[in-house]
Amino acid sequence: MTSTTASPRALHLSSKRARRKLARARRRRSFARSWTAYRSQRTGMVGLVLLGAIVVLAIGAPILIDESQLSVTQATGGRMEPPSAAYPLGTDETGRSILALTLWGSRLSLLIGLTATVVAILIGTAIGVTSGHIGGWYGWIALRISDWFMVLPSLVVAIALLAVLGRSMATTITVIALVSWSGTTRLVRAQTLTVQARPYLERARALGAGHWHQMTKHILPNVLPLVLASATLLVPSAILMESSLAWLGLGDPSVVSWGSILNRASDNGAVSAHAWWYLLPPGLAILIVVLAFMMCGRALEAVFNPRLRGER
Amino acid sequence: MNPHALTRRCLSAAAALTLSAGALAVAAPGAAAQENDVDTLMIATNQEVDTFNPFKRRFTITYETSMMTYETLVRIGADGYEPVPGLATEWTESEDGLTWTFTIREGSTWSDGEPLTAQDAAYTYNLLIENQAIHDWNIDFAANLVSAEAPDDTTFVLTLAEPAPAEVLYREVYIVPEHVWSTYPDPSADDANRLPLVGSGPFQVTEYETDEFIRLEANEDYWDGAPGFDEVVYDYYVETDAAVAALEAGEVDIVGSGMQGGLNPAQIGALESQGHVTTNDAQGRRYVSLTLNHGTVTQDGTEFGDGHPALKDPVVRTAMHTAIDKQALVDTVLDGSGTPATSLIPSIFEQWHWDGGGELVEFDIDAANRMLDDAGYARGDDGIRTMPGGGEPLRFRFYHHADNTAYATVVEFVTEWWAELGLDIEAEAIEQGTLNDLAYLGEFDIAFSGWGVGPNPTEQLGMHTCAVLPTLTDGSERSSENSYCNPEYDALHEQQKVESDPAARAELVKRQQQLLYEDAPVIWLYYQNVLEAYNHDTVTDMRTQPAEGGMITGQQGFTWSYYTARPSNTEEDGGAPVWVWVAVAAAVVVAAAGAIVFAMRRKQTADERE
Repeated sequence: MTSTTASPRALHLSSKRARRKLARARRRRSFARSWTAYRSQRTGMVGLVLLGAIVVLAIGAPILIDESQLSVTQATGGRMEPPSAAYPLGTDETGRSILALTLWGSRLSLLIGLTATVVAILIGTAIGVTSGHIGGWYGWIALRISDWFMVLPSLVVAIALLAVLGRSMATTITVIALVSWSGTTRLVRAQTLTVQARPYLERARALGAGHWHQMTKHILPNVLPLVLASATLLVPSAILMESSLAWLGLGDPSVVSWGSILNRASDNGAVSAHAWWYLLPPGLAILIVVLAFMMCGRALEAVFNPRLRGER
Repeated sequence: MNPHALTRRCLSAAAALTLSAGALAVAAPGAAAQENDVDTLMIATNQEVDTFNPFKRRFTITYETSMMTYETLVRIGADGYEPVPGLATEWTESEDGLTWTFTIREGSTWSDGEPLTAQDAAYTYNLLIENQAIHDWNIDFAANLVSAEAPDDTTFVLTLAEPAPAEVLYREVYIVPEHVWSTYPDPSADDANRLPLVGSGPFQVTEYETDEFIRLEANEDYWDGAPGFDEVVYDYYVETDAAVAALEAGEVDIVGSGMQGGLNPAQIGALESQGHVTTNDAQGRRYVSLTLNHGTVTQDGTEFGDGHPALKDPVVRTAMHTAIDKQALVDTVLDGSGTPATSLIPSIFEQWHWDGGGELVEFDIDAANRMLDDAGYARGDDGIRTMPGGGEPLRFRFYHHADNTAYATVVEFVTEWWAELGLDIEAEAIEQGTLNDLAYLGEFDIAFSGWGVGPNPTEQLGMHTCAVLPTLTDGSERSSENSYCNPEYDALHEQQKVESDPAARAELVKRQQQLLYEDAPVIWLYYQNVLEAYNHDTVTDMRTQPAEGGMITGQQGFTWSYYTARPSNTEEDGGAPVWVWVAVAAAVVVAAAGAIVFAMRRKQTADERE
């Protein structure tokens, strides 16, 4: 790559490029190593395949099933019909296909679960790294706040917040993120303290690295794998939380999510009518997604956490 | 501990449990037999009690307990909501309509044995006139009362300030016993009348445990004959599904409007398949409507709120009305258990209901689109119409009650229809309290509403008169349903209030409803049926109100159904004879004793072995 007639500037650039290349190669290697470790775990692979299938179905839902199938005025089925050839999973009380509702519901349930997790992880990591690294009175206060959020009963707080903030997708995401960031903070802080004590950080400090440099270049890369594992485990709890809230009637009733399907089912007497086809599909869908995420999360945890790996 | 010792302990524990179970098995049939001596009518409910004070109560559950405990001078009939004799055997109205003379029934007594006289009626009406708190609570009626007197034990004379024939006959004033109530320090207090209540009706409230039950005992000396059941018990269920399961299991006799929100079609479907359950799909007194914010104003004409300007245009409101298929809503949301609505008074009140003649709006989305086109509401590039001459798009906030699934489904339908008109609807589910706050502040475009209508239409019609418009803009005065004010309507309202001839009054009332329908400040969607079910193996002969296709729960003016109900004569074939129970229990006890002896012996030999 480098030419023999390079100017000093070009040399400098090329050395920078070489460094990047080196870093890329290192990352590729470490990724390959992690992937090998991950692949050796059967549950993790099963979870990954399940998850892939679910995501493909969720993204492909508009192609598989036309949005008009969610329209109540254009519904063609009867009232709570049991499964038939035309409606493989039966119909709801307005004559819509439960299969269509469940498939479309996956989009919202996943979207809310993932977005809420991302928000929670962002908050948790930021507070965790800063409180661990900076410490002092700031660290103490940040820790106490996260402790406080940890001991609050999350469902009760979520219900209260939703009652105050009103019902919409955005508020649901906010509320779920708000009640679930504190666990990540604890985890990240602990890891930050461990990394902090390593000699190379002392060297970096001696070389004059600022807080920002230390946090972004040294601590964060070492914390991220753990964060990834914890995020994967946070998604299922966020999905469950969304479903519980929607089932309790605290979701946005104008959108279709698994929890809201269950809410409609129970409010419309599906339990008394023994309309299992109305209750089972969204319930099983929640179960499968949560299971898939848990499998992936546990496997990731084992990959990134040496102590867990030793146990295996 | 060695494994044998563990086994032994488990065995002994199991034996002890079985022994106690055997004892219970002997006790249980005895207890059941005792209960069978009292015929109890079990009604499922989930409504909390506000107060048993009949002057202050506002909830449906206490309306029913008041109706059973106390009585009115005039009952409301079971055939067609007509006034029929109650405590008064007959009544006359003076020429000027200001003096009413009632003849009080002789020989009727209070549940504590004291005789009931016209003095009690005078005392009760005087509470309305003289007790400030009670007067204020019932101001719409009490303000018109001048005096209440009892010249003798059987004559009661009521004097009014203005003629109000319908109010006098239909206003349910529960006659309370003077000899008891005059001892109360404050008859207007929530807990003025302590349990057990003293009344003259067919059943009196004797016991109440919050969220558990309300017990009413039969008045054996009731002047119209003792009721068929010895007691009525309201049993509390949190979930309607749980009440349905209890009815299926025979633990409760009646499930109906006692459960808030009532039964839904799926639950009725499930109950229909039960051999011992009769379901009743009765015409209801309730309408469900959409309130359109056509501009909220105060008495002096100050506009407040932030309703969309397009909704002030009757053309827009009529176009929206035209784009609603009420029959489809009834068929899908209610599964056919209802009637498409025309105007304010549900069709159950045949004499007052306006059927629209041939002038009803027909569902026609194309016609609605043409109306909006002609009125100059052009579609923008995004397909959303804007105000004539460009400007504000027709984007409406649509508020519905968060706890009502049926409303959420209606919203989905209506939103889809209105989207075809080029209206942008932002539906939002809101808590009932907040929704009411916003509605009375005028900070909405479209909102759900619904009322149960009584046999006297004056109250509902009165919510649309200029007289009840608020004087303040803070939303605290909540008498006007939707700031409707039309002098022609008000003139008709004043006439119908004083009209004694029912036929002439009906004409006026129908004309009022027609005005409301044409101006469309509110779009009435449907009249909801009452879905209810009862166990016909345990209860029979319940009289419905009205007679034809009427309801059992949610009756008005007198609880005809619970009063006429009597236990079914069908033989009880479910329970095994007592000797079977005794034999079973004995066998269990013997087996358990054997097990204990065995375990003890094992223990002994084990000790020896060790």
